[in-house]
Amino acid sequence: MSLDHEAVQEMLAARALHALDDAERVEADAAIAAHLRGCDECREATEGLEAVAADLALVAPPRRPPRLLEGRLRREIRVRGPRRRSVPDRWVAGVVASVLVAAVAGLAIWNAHLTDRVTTAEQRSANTAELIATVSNPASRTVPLITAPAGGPRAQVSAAYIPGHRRLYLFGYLPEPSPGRVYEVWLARNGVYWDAGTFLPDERGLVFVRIVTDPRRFDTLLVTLEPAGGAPAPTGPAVVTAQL
Amino acid sequence: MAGDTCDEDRRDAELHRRLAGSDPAAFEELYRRYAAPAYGLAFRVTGSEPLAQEVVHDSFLALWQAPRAFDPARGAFRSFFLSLVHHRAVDTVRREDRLRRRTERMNPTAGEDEDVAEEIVQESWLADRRVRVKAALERLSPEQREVLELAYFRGHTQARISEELGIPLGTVKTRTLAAMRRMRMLLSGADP
Repeated sequence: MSLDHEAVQEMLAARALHALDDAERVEADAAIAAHLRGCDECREATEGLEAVAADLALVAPPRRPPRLLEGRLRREIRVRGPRRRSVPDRWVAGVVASVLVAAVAGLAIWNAHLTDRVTTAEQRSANTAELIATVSNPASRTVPLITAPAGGPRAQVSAAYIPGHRRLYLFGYLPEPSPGRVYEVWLARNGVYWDAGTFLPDERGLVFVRIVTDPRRFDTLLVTLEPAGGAPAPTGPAVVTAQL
Repeated sequence: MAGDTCDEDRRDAELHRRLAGSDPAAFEELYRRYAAPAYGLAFRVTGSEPLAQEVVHDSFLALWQAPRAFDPARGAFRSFFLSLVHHRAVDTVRREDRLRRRTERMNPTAGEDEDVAEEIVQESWLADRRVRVKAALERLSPEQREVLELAYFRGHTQARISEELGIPLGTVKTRTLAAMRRMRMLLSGADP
């Protein structure tokens, strides 16, 4: 979909004000991301509109929250301690030779909706910002994934990355898999598949997956449906796929 | 006396750096700096003390648990954190829509005289900025202010604003963008 600057900036304004519902936000993010890649004017407008929205927060008269709240937070951070943010490394299948394992050490997946139980507004917002920062980079590449029949009519996933950066993002919509099943991401080179982790869409079907790897090392990206816990090699039906 | 915004942004950046290293003292100082504007914003959006407390609690806890959600390269901590609070407040108010309907609504301007924490603003380094933002809002047309109020402070989607005001969705979009652009010009001093 090609949009003019005005339409994109209308979406940017609405997004900055959080005036879109979840489905609208996903659609807007995809359209914005596609447009920003080649538009300096709208990239610059993004920052300006977000700054205005941030300033609007100051209009609300400040209020001193109850002292109990500070005490409660102080206790909670003592009890919980710092949160571990390290991503869970996902090793390739056990059948893969150790040399290949060494080659993909560091291949990891992080899925906000599985591993981050505190994920809500702020994490989604951070994810979106991270994604937009990626796709708005003039050097970035966005690859729409081809949907296989197992993906169903609603499946719509793209991959984005900046050549030379060790990040590959999957984002879009996927239907909730049947009970006991998960989606599994595979990266392939010359027909050899690496397991890049499992994930589930969130309750609205939204997908945001960050894979820590250099995507230029692979020629194919594949998502399959697999039993919960994942599979050592692709066994289930393909859902979406792309040539990288 | 309000401090210089750039100095304060640098101070926030330093506190955030320490927070990322799990320094509780940095967390407490950020709480002292932002609890009042965050709570004021959350209350303005939710119109409810309990909901506002939930929003502020969850926002600060999320900050402690995931400090790297903020990237200093992308702007000021103040913008990030208040945007986080706003987003949580909007999510909460949409979830609690029925509660919201039976809660007395805060008028966009009325009620500020009742603000028991006004002195916090006047002593805060945010005070100058707040005055400028309010002055800029006053210079918008009533129609432009209305869409910003409904979207930002009441958490309405643009579709709901269209229904509530009885105007086409396209008009809501263009009016919102025009309002934001005007605010931007006014705040940058380009439209004195």
